[in-house]
Amino acid sequence: MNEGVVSAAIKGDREALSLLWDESRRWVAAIILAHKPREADLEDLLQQVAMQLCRKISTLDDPRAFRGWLRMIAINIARAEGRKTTRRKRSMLRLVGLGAAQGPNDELADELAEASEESKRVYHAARSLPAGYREPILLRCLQSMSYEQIGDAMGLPVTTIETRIARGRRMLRELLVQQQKQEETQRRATLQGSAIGGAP
Amino acid sequence: MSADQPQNTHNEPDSLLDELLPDSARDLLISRVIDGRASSTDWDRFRALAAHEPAVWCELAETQQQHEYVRAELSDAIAIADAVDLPGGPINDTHTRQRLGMVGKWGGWVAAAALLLVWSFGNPSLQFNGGSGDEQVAGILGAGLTGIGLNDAEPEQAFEQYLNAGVKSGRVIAEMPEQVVVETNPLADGTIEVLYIRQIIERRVIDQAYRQVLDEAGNSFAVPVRFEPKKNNAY
Repeated sequence: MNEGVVSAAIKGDREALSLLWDESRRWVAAIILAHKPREADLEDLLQQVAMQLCRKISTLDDPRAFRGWLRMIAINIARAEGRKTTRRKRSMLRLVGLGAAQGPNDELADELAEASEESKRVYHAARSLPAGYREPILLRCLQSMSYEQIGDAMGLPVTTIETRIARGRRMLRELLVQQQKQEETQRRATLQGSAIGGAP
Repeated sequence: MSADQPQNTHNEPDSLLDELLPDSARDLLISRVIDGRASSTDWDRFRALAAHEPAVWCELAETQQQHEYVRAELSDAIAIADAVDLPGGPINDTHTRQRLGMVGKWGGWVAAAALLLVWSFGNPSLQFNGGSGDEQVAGILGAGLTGIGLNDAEPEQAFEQYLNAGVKSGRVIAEMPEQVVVETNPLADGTIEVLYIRQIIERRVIDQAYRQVLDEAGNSFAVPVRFEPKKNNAY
């Protein structure tokens, strides 16, 4: 990130601000994806981040802190949306009386049923990793983000980022194996059920 | 140093790798290979590991494939970011605000209100170039409609004139057959007052569309919306 461009944007240079946004919006989108509730609209949240960037850039003291500062804006907006969604879900669940019936695993199972393609399945699994792992994993999948830049944005040393990405990848592998086993078990149970049901 | 360059190019002792447990060290090696960060020492270690545990090659292949899957899906998911520009400024237009209020009030009726478009004809102030509704109708009528003068016409006649002139100029597509009842009030004389909405589909060709966004304080901002030009072979 060019500090001169950040400094100019802080001083009110509109072109510099546009340039910053052009360079940042893809990784900001990845960070939002790592933290937003699944049903929230990415475009809406990105627009909120863009708006906050315009309104608050003048309050940024240190141009070197830009990436971490913008990341926190994105995370706060994504989390605020998460709280809204949780409140909406709770009130809906109270209405239909499903509060105890459906857990996170059921939601994941529903989503996986929809994600028929293997790549979608892997992507959804990556997004279900713990936040500390999924964020660097997603950011690393952006070709423009180096380990150093990810560390800069997350405020963590490069060695920590490297360790998290490596562990996150192992967790992803294990999660996918686990999901596959669960699906096979369910499939067998279904087949057995239909065999018993169809028996004379 | 770039992330894609080997981190340990001089084959120095890798304290991070040495400190970690065997499983973690294995994860780190695989990760470095995938990200193009493996030094020659890392490769030596990887080969040594693979000699004892050939399964590590499968792990490497699986992890690489999963990385590519996530990369491809993420790339699709965040493509929308390229269409999100910085806000164009607050919407101050009173007419627009009234329209936004209507959308809020009749959200169910305006089913497509998720994307509310405010338009301008190359005018960054986002003012409606067509003027007020009356001016627009008068403009259309003045553009060649003959017959009853607007001042002398009954409301239904004036409305018909507007529809006919609109269809002729291409501005009006049609009036929707359904009229939506908003409210009914029984009156003292035994009649019933009915408030209803007539829906007309109009068409405009615009230079730039804006999407209305509300911040946490409820202030409206206009954000430019980019549309991809329609391709001839789109269907």
